[in-house]
Amino acid sequence: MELILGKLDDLINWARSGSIWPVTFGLACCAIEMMAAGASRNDLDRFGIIFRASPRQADCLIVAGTLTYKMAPILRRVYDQMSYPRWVIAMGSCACTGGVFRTYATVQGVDQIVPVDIYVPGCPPRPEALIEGLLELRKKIREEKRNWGPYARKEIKL
Amino acid sequence: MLEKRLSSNKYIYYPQDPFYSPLEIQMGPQHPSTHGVLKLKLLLEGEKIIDLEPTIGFLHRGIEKLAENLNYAQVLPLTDRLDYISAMNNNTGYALAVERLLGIEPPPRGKYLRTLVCELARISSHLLWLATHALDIGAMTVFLYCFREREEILNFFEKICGARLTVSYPRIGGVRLDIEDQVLEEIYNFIPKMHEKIEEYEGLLSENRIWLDRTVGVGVISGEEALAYGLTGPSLRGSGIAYDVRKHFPYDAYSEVDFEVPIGKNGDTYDRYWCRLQEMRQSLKIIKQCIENLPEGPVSSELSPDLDMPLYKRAITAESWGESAFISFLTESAPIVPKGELYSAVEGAKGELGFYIVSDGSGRPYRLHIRSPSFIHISALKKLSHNHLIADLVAIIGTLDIVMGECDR
Amino acid sequence: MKKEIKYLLFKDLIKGLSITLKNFFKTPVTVQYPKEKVKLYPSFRGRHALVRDPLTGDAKCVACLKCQQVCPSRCIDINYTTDLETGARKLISYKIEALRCIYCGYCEEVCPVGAIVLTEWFEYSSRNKEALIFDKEALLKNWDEFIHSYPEKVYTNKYWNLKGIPESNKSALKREGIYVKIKD
Repeated sequence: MELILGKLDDLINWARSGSIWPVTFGLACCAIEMMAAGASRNDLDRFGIIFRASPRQADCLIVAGTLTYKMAPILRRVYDQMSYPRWVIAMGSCACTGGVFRTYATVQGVDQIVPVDIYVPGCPPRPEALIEGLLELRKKIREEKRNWGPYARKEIKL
Repeated sequence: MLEKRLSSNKYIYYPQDPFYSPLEIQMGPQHPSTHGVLKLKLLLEGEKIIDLEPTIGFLHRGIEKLAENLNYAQVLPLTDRLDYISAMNNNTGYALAVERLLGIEPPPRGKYLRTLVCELARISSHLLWLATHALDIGAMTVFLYCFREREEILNFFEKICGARLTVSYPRIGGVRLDIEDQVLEEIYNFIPKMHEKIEEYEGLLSENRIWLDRTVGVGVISGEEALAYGLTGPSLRGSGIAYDVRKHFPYDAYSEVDFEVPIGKNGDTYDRYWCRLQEMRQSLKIIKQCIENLPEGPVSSELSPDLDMPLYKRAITAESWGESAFISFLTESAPIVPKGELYSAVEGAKGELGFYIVSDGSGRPYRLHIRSPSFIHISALKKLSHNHLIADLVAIIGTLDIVMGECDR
Repeated sequence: MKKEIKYLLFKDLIKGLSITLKNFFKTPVTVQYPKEKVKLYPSFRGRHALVRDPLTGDAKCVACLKCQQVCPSRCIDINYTTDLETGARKLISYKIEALRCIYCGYCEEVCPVGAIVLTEWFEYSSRNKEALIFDKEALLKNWDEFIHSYPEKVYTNKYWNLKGIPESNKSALKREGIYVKIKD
């Protein structure tokens, strides 16, 4: 039984990691590098990563840029609208810790608002660094166990 | 075109109509075509916009307040994050303001290099504008083509200063470091290639019937109105007023290079598009002249302040380390920078980018205000989008070339 | 009239499509990133490192606190002790919060001995935040990792001695041509 479940895990994780669809949550400078990552030079479609404008169709949230307190509820709402399973990448210094903006208006790290899986440092990170982060996320997805069907539902209690 | 569009729209709603109710829609802040985090409150009649109210501040990071706690040299990396698409222009604008406050002037080579990188940044900004504007309207190909050339310009930036977007290359009193000759040659070889590419974009868009349908007669604003709203940059020049800070109040090496200011006629979205494309050509012309006439010598003025410039007034005649170093905090002596206030503007990629600095004599700005073109352009959104469809609103937001990092600061 | 004929013959669309067709046969610009390594230009501002002195095997840092003072985002934290007899400072801990850094390169520029560098290394995304707060050991390890694959014999950073800047204007009085000898 464990063997079959393990193989099923592998299959599901392979399918999930091959088609990470991030939602376009571009906030500031990093959004430009995120666009550059999706454009012709570093084509993100090679990894099956296609940007979706709607959070309902997406399963990965790339927080690209400074998150302010005014924007924080909207980030949380977009995150809540995403369907399971979902992952979050904090891209850039501002999203990870607040960066240079140690001010009254800036959230000091998006991990105060949503759980973050991967931190990508850089200000802004190169497109290649973002791709590296996405590949890291892919590895993380492949290591997951029993994150589907009834197993996942047990943990999710809304 | 405009009359045709208005006459075809026969559905007019009257308030007396019992079924009349204007629809209110919130657009943004998480929307792919609002260029960041702009939120618009729309009041619709059918699909026609009758009222619009922009909500800004979703990217307010407190840069102006933060600058009050850093010294003049440390504020420079913050200005990268204003208009992050053309960071060189912001840095130059800030550096120029502080230079005018301190009364120093960069050496000729520094001036030319600053002009050169500013124009490269302008091209990269216009390329990104064209890419996103065309993508919003529905031309995916232009997006991919523009990013192809943009990457080359960013590669130049990386070779020059080691970063792609947040460069911090211009410095108070010149530039940070010299460009290598090899990079200059590469930029020089890039110019004719870029001319070809601009023709490519024009071939894709300028005569395309879908592009013309979506842009001609959309978002019309006359010259007087544009001036009254305070529009600057290509948004103003599209309406036929040839105001350009580079021409009227020349800074750096702009007085020594020869270029034209392209102006439009009708003041619609198409004219602004045309203006920006011509501006890219003029920028290439300036870059060519800059490389050809590049003088030799140092790139930074000898008087430019240190990175770790003192924050407080300090006795100039400190005798030795020890007691006097402590006393120097207490003694009133000559200010580190002159007291006073000034406004200095440069022609950013979006429009007139001004820095207003109030100095109290210490090493930090007492107050820094940034006159950002995007903030002022958003105010014209209501006028431009009146009686247009929602689909046109996307084109109008695109044509104003709004960057929210600069607008909210 | 002429315009209308052109309109009916789809001249504009054919012109655009011919451009796309021309580009179709050109070599693709896409860099196959994970397989094909990106060529970074010298002095790219990437991951931080403390230079390991080849003579002593320890960091070159002299704890002058200039980098801490000049950092706009205040991400450097240094502790040191002073030797009472000689007055020399000794570094106890050196911590950089990489996630707060904005990679402006000011620290490299003001360092009088060329101890801190931003290396040409950008692949260091992490699953937890703590891994990206570099202490002294981690910074020295970063340097070893970076210099291991460095092709040339001598490493020198653009920002250690800025080109084209008058000598009087440099942020730190630097010894002429700071470099690190990697191999003979």
